[in-house]
Amino acid sequence: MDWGEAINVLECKSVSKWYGDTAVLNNVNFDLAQNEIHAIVGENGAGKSTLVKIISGLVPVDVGTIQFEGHDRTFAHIREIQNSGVALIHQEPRLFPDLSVLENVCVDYQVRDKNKKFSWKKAEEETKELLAELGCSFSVHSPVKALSVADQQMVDMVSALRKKLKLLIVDEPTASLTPSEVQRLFATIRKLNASGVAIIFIGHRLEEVLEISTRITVLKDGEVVAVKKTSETTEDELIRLMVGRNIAASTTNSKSASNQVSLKVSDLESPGFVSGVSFEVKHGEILGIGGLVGAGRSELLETIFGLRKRSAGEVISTTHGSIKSVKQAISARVALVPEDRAHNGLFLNRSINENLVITNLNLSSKGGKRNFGKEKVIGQELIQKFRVKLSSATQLVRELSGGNQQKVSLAKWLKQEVEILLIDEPSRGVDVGSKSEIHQILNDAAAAGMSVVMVSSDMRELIELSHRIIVMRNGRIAGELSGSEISEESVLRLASGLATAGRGN
Amino acid sequence: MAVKVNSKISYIFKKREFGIFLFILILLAIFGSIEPRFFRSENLNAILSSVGILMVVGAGQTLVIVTRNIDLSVGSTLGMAAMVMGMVARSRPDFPIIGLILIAMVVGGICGLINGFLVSFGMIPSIIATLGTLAIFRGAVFLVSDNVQIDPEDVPKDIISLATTSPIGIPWLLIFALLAIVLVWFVSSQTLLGKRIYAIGSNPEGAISRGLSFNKITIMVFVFIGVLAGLGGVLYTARYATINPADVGRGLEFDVISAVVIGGTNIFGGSGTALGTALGCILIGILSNGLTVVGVSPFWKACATGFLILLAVAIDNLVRRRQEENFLLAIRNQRVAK
Repeated sequence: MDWGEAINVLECKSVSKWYGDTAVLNNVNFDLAQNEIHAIVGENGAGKSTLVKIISGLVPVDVGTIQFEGHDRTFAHIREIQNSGVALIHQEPRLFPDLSVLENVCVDYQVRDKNKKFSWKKAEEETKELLAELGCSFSVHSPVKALSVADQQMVDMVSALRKKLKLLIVDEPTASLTPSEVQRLFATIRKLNASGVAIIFIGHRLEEVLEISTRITVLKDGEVVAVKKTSETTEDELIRLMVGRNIAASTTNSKSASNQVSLKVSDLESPGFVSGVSFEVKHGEILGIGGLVGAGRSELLETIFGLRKRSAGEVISTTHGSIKSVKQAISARVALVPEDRAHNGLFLNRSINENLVITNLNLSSKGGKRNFGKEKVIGQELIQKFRVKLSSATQLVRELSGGNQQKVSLAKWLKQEVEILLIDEPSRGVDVGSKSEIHQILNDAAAAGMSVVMVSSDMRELIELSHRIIVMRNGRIAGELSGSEISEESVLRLASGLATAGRGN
Repeated sequence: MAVKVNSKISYIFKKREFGIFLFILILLAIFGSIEPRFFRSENLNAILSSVGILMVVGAGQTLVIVTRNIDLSVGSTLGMAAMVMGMVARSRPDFPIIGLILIAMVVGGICGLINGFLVSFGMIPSIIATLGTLAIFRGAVFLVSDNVQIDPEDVPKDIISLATTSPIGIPWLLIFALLAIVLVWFVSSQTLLGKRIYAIGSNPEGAISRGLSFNKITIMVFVFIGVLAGLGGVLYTARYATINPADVGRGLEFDVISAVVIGGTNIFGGSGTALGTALGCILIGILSNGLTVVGVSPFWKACATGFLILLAVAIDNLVRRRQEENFLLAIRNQRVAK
């Protein structure tokens, strides 16, 4: 590969980044020529977003150097980087919902030319012009919170364009766009590129990546596994590179579930997040829910549990009837273990024992009075059963490792006869040892007849644990996989919209 | 579709300010019919004076709350500024009046600067930082004054006349109040700085990722409210002619924050208008005066203001929730249509 003739706008050398003990980026080399649209692809958690956050100065680099236009920018301040012409457009636009379109665009306007005074009139003209160029029809005076996500992205884009732009980074811009909105976005990107702006494009839908990019870097577990010219690669090759493992090696959960349905979800709808989702779960079954970040998976669990308002649809437990609120869900023996256990699942500043008994007070109290002796017994039992590593049961949950925290948040629900467990990312941020223990716990629970609905972005986890997998995309079910159909490739295809087994977009 | 939703919002906002205006008219009618003396010019002047002091400080509080902060120390800041100014005037009776006003504003500004540093660089939530300085500044008023009050004969006549003399038909006190409101209106709607103030309250993370100077803006709004509270100290002295260390500005934070919140400033930051605050101040001023004039017991008076705040916030939340649901639906329909 010889990229020598093109001038590199950006060069990242041996970039590494750790969060705690985990390397998010490991010795990554990345370069970008002025005339190219360089795509970065990889699974969830491969380190794509971290890399572009480092490039745009939002996150400091731990090891390595970054050069922009020949100058060292490794430790530059975010404002310095932005003023040198770098802009990052996020998947979720970083706008100010209370301000108007025009105000959003101008808010960080820096008067670089001291002789030129800022004028709203001129800014308005320029903004209108840019919006028209991008094919946007909304008024510059409408508040941003009244716009759709696609239009908000355009506002974000215009804010970036008002400065002298040299490098534009777009991080998963298409995740929540309709096909026509995607085309509008791509036309803009191409036009910018033609006018001399280098582009980094992060995308999940490989089809789109192949359409827009000229070169593709594949990241996997924080490392660059390949850099390919777009014209010399295919979807299949990219998927193989992204997955990178011997697909046959992973085994799916072959233990069969019963035939008795325990939970029935029909036409569930939560405005903006979940639409028309129907499925059934059987006793003893682990149903995996796959999909990309932002596909509406966590929101689906929350809607089932009654945390999120639904606008249509039904959730029925075959043993306890219809579930409409959290209270009904709990009395129907449904439990939700959320993804963000630090905020939603645990009382970090309370002891392990208190956290374990909080959901089991009915067993350890009488007439509203707590029985501390009994609480201790229940706590002890759970700690042993779930092998929580601790110095004492009165230790604060805050002091535990991620894996042990997750065990506590599972244990507190599993003491009582939960019939349906909704669990979101069971092993995120958890070390390998705890992970396999958590998997064992889930398998045992299912074997004992519990129904488990599990959202996971960890492909291997999803495939190894699930009896059946539903893949979500844009709030809808993109397809269902079972038995031999389950593979990382098939999940990825459905998630990124390459295959349409069920209802597509 | 976006335009349609948009016009709906501005409609509701207009309705909000119109609603306060209507409420003010209703209150006037009720108080006037129960007690005709309510409309006597001395009483109306009394209302306007207290409204003026509220407006000066409320103008600053609006911007502070817009940035997702709050300043509880305004009463003590006002007290501190008034006391220092009063002591200077007592020891040097011929000190120029402009100088006295500047002293009060500088003292207020320093108090604001302290709050700003605690909140920005100190990273102390403003509700706690200013709760602390509420007590500290009050303590400082006792310390500098040796717990001796400034008597009316020690207050320069020029200061007192600010509340009564009128160069263009309205007293200086009200001119200052209107200037403060106009200044906040101008900054918030016409300048980039104003948009940045709203931006950091609307989406703090976004503001940082767009490279806005978060700390600088935070300190700026706290200094601004401090300076205005200092000016409020001058107006307080003009109105009451006595500066008692225990009384000066005490409890002001309650009235000011009530007025700003009733005026429609979102306590979670990002939105609020100078006009709304001005109307909120008028409402609070009329309510508290009117209830006294018609002979309602002080206990009920406090309850009434409290109820009004809760009502205002409850209505706000209802409207906002309805709006958000409508947005989501509108956006979804829009996409389905495509």
